[in-house]
Amino acid sequence: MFRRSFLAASAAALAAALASPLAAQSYPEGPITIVVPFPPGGSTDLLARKLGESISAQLGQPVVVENRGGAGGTVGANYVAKSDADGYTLLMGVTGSNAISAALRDDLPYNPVTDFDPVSIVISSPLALVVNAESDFTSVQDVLDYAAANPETFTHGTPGVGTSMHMAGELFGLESETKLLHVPYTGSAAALQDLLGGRIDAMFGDILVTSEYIASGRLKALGVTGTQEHFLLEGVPTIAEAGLDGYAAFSWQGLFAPAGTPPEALDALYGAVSEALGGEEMQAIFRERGFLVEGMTPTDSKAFIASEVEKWTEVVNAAGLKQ
Amino acid sequence: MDLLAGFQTGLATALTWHTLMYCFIGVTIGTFVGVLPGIGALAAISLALPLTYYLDPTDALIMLAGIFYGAQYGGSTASILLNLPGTATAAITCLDGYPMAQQGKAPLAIFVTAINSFVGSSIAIILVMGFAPAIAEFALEFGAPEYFSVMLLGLVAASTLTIGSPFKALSMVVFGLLLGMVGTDVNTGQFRYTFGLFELADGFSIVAVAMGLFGVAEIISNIGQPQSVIRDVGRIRMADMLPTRAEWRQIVRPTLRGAGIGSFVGALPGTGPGIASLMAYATEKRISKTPERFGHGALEGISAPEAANNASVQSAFIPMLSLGIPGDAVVAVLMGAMILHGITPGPNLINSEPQMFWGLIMSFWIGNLMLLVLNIPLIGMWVKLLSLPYNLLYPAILVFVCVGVYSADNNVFDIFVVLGFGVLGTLMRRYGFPATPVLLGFILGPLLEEHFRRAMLLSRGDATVFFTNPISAVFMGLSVLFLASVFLPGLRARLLRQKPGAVAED
Amino acid sequence: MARSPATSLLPGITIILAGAAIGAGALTYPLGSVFRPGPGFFPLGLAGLLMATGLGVVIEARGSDAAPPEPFAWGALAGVVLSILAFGLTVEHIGYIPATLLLFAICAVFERFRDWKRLALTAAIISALGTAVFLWGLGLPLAAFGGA
Repeated sequence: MFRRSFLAASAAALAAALASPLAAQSYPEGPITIVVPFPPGGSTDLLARKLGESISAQLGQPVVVENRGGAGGTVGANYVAKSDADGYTLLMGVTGSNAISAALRDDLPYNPVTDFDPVSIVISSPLALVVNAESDFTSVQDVLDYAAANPETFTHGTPGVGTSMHMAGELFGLESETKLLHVPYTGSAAALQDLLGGRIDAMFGDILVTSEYIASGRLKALGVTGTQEHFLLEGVPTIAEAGLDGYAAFSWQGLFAPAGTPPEALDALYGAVSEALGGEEMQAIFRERGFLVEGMTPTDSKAFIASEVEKWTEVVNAAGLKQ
Repeated sequence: MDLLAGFQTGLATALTWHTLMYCFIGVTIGTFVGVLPGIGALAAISLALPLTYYLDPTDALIMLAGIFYGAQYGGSTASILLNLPGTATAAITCLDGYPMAQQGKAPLAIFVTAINSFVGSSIAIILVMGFAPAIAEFALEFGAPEYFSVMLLGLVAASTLTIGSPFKALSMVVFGLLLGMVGTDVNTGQFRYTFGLFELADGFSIVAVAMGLFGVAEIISNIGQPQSVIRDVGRIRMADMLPTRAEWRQIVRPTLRGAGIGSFVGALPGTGPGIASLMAYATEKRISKTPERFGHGALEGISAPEAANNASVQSAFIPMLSLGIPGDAVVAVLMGAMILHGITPGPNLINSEPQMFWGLIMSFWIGNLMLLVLNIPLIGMWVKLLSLPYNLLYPAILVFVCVGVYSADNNVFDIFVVLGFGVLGTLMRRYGFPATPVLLGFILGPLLEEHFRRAMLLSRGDATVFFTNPISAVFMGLSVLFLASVFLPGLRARLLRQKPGAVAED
Repeated sequence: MARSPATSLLPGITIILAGAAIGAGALTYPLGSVFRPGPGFFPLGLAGLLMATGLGVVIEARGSDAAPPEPFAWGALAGVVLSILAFGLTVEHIGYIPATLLLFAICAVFERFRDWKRLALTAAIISALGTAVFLWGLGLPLAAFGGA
């Protein structure tokens, strides 16, 4: 009921803020489009499609998933930010498109905080700090000691500048007052190749992907970036427990509507999302992929996005990454 | 699991009726999508992927893989008949394939590409079956310095590829390299040459660049010409397609060399069929006794690259299937498809999912056989279709080009990119500047820069890594040899000229 | 045949100027050093190379006789440019079929050998085929008629 009261509060707040309560009284009246700002086949695509199926069944209108990839998700996000705020065009946004990019770029053509009304931050997933199985590093403390003694020497590979993996590494440096050497790649596969080949020291990697290599004895996990042990990597401590107090970094995915969307539409969508998250099929997918269920209310989501933008802006500025 | 047992498992999987059906659907879609200008394998697989969410994972993967290698068969058709390549691979096939079509030998050219695609694929499949894990481990040895050296060799090859003025060709390679710089800098995230256009953050789409420089420019130069572009060859008989005994002899060795080069390049993640084709073509031209025939319809000029690109597409599965590292963008989407189906490719895949691994590999054979059977009867149809009066044909091609480039990211911006490059390509043609080097520079430029900078970052600024690393040193040496083989004959001719009766300078 | 400076001199000079412009652009990005190249390093080096090759083209053009260019098909260029432009600008608003018909119509206007009947037939076939393949088959987010 905690959730319900938040929902009511958010609806009231939004209704007060918007002077057009008539706009979508019988929402939804037609098909809803969810824009996935990446090509098909990724985890965001999967989430959007599964969520879409459930929303469609609940609201009785077709839900179409459209892939508009480009520039780390920002092209698709920009498209939705500029779409009609009628609740019929939504975005499956991620950490990069809806928080980090705002911290990184002055010339971003949209503002993740003011240009969107979040429906819900749906899931989050922590990352794993992994090293080659033959590496001398056996704990987070080893890395902290080494990085403190040898600035800009400990190399960590990432899928690119401004990805959540990159930010996890920068945050690690900022909070431990050390300086890691960032080695950007074009995609995590290339970084993984160099990690397996022993050419870089570590990666903050996707838990599901790295767990395969950990199971086969190619990589070892020193810590997870979450606030508790992850079910796919049992026995691996959190980085906070293992020596870097207070450290936490997540990537997350959420459903967003353009700012100014009628509160009725947001309510209907949020109701459908939170209903979907309880479903067995969704739960199974989340377990398989290593996702943690969030299902935040629109109000909570809005506050969360603002805090994320603030957090990553601080990291980006401290690391001198601002473009 | 040993090879024989794997063979049996694979056949048992691949020969079930539903798997055969999905394999057939995949290769058929692949063929047609490959023929349609503008829609590449990547776009087709991305678009078909959601349809497979409800299939059995092995069937889904077999179907999607079929689209991938099927598109390689179809891709050469539009290049040869219309000079309309959608990829760097097809642009290489155009070099000699289009001149052949203009000489009325289109059926022969397409037949040879179909056969060579089959042979190239088969050789690579044998490698995948027998040595996938070993090859994957070898590929893991390739770090930034090694990649840089391979790309440098590619660049040297690209610079000597086309006929005509060397300065014009060189300037176009450099122009292509610069085009590749447009977009987000990998190392810093800085936008370069995007002119505030957010759509350029990922750089130009290769399909749009290729379609503009080749396709649209070709159309503009063909309009208003009274005759049809393809010489109407009348009724196409088997005899028009089959190579003569002499022609068979001409293509055997280039095909084998091409397949070898393609298998090797394909197994290196991040290279792709374009570079395989380029290397194979350049090698043939370099070792040929009559390099002057290249670019005017040399049969070797289509045999080697076609074998190479198909081999590379098959061997691109090696790093994905044995290490979980996708070799190129298309394989990455396929890997995404596997993850969607709850199978995460990693070093254990062959052991944990033997049915899928061997089933997929066996489906490669079956799919390639289907493609051969499917494509040869289609040759006549394509040639006939494209012998339509040009004033009816070209608006249709323009529609396909526009929708094709749109399909990559569902963004009309790419249609305007095609237009811009079409105008540029028209001007380049008018002044005798070749388009192929632009495309090759475009794919090599970002790779060269990325690996050079990463090598420097990881070696802490020590440039000797390119020579002290054994694998890298070998490729550096090959680049030098290649350059020497270009310049030394001239030098030798110059030396010989001092004696009486010396050979004439070419 | 008369020496025609228009054939290769002009493009050579264009390449040199383009190289200069690209180089100037590269200078606005951090250059770094040879051992730690920044985002401006490669473009600057390549821009220099482009200017050098452009110079090569100019020298080559001065030293050789070139055939005068063939008369230029301005009509073909204009037709193709306008038709693609029209298609790109309208397809998301008026739909795939009207945009296709528009493209065909513009091409036809600029075409010397016009054959309205067969053009209309081809346009109809491409409209139907494209709707089936692209819209239904591949599921592109375009409508056959009207905005998506």
